[in-house]
Amino acid sequence: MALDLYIDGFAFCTQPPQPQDFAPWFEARRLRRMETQSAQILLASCQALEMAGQPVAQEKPFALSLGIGPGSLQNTCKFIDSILQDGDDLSSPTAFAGSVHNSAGLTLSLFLNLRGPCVTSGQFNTSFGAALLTAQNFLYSSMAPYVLVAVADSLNPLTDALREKYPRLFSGEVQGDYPPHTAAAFLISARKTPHTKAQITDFQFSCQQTADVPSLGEGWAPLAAAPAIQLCSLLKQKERTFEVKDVSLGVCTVIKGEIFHAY
Amino acid sequence: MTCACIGGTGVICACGSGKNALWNGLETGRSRFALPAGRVNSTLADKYPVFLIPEDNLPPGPGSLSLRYFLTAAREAFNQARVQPAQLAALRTGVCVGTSVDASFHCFEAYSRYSRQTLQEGDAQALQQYFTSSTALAAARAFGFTGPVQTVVTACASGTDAVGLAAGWIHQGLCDAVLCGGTDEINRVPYDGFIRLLIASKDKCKPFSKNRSGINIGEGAAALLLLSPSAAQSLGVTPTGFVLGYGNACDGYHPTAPDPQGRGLNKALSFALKQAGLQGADMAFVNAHATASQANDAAEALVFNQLLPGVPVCATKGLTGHTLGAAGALEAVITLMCLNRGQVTPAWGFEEEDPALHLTPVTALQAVRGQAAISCSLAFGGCNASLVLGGRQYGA
Repeated sequence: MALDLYIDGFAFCTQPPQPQDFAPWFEARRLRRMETQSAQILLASCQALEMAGQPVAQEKPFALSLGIGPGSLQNTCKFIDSILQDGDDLSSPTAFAGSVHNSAGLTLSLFLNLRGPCVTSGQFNTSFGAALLTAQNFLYSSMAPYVLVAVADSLNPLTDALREKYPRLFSGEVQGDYPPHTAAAFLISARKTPHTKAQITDFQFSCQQTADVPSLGEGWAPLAAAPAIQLCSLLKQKERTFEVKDVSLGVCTVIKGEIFHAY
Repeated sequence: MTCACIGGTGVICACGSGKNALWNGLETGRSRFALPAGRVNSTLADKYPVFLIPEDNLPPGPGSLSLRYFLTAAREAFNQARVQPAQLAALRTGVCVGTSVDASFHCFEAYSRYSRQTLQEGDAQALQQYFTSSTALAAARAFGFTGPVQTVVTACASGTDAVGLAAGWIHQGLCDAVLCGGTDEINRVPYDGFIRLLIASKDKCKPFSKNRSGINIGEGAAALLLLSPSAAQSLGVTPTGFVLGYGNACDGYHPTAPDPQGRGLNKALSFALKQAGLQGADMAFVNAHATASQANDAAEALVFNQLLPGVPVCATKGLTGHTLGAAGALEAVITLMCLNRGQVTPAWGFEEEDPALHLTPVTALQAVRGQAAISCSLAFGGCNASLVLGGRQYGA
């Protein structure tokens, strides 16, 4: 690793948030019309900032590094629905604007007053590794003192229907039930602080070309947040060390580290 | 920042395939600006021309058009550097690709049948392919690279971010080489979307003009092969340029409009200059994002007047269209070509000075002095990114 990475706060969210979940930070009316993915990633980010002792409302020069699975599927499908139902001439510009991958980044920068760099990575369930890599990049080049790494998945009824109808296509890499809407967030810095909860001592993110790696086209893997949620769970345990290893789409992500406190 | 060497570059866009075709277009204004016809099956009553890759330049082969565009550009970059992918595969070589449309859910027909409850087995396979592939991953597999693989989806700043992040991988010592750039294709979703947002123009776009009336979307790809100085030396590659600095900052202002004060762009540009250890006055020119929307060009002009007074401004979307996720990488390659030729190309489409902007872009092929220049991108979501690039003679 080119530099040490420290985790000051973390949180995850596996259910669509309710307006009251945001009561400590925002008025409910500010959240009107916010799609599920953005709401989840915002809630996880607020909780991670709070755990790190960072003010949610105050303007901060923090960076944002987002990992988004298939993008905002809700909005993309809403836009396609509007074409199919109302015709191209009446398709919804609002849904189109919300369909861009970095719409969740805008939500976070607006609500959390983040004014540092912002990059979104979208490579299905390798997106968490990519987001962590970008965070490392920002910290190494001193672009920001902290990076909020946030990941989210937003599946939709279509993917659920396909999973049900063609299970053999979806039995590859993710086993069992997985909530369709998930998000996780981590506040990361390059130096240890009084709020530091854990240190990442080894981080690898690389493409594998070996024969035993699933080739593209195999497996069902649009789940960016799965390894991030696994990391959150490990950070809450009483062990002193943690290791997350994920091999998806031929990309290997390894995150190892040491936990400073047990929760 | 310890600079990353640029070993070679490649492009494909509405001017044609390859840098020679692109430079010919930049000099003459020749490009393909036409109604999208068959590939974009939109029923919009009003028709908007776009900058399309000519049919006879569409690369053959499997995979999405975006992938084929990027592989075409990558091969040109390898050829310029005179390296084989196998040589790079023996090093720590990563892939970092910016895109927008290519990463968005684009299974329009399958989704349409799903809505009508007539899903077919082939639809599931199309969806599965979408959910398990990306241009960056496919390129890494095609060339046998085993370093980091990242798809950057920061909308229209994706290409700039991909190059900047890739340079960071070299800087950190994570990689010896990185194939980076951007790629995008036109389909019904972005075509309808930009028109319905009322920011598209039926005329050729007019960057920085008083009568500018919006963007023209386009498609294409650009690839840059970045190398560490030691990798360049060991491969016998003479750099064609350098990535000297990268900056990025968000506005936190609006989903589709830039901060009118250009605060995010100001920060991104300032950081890129700081990282390069250069001042605004050191810049030979700035290659603007210049979409020809009222808001974008106004924000950029404000920031250029603040940070880069007197620096020539070029704008190329009047020739290539707005190639979305590819734009930043394509414009980085154009910036490099201009630096190495000592000439900056005119802002095709510019017609009439806008007194509110206090900025007149370059209007004819113009000689420039200096070996460093800036390329900027602004994006939906309030993302801003800047690269400071050096030509092959930089530091000589």
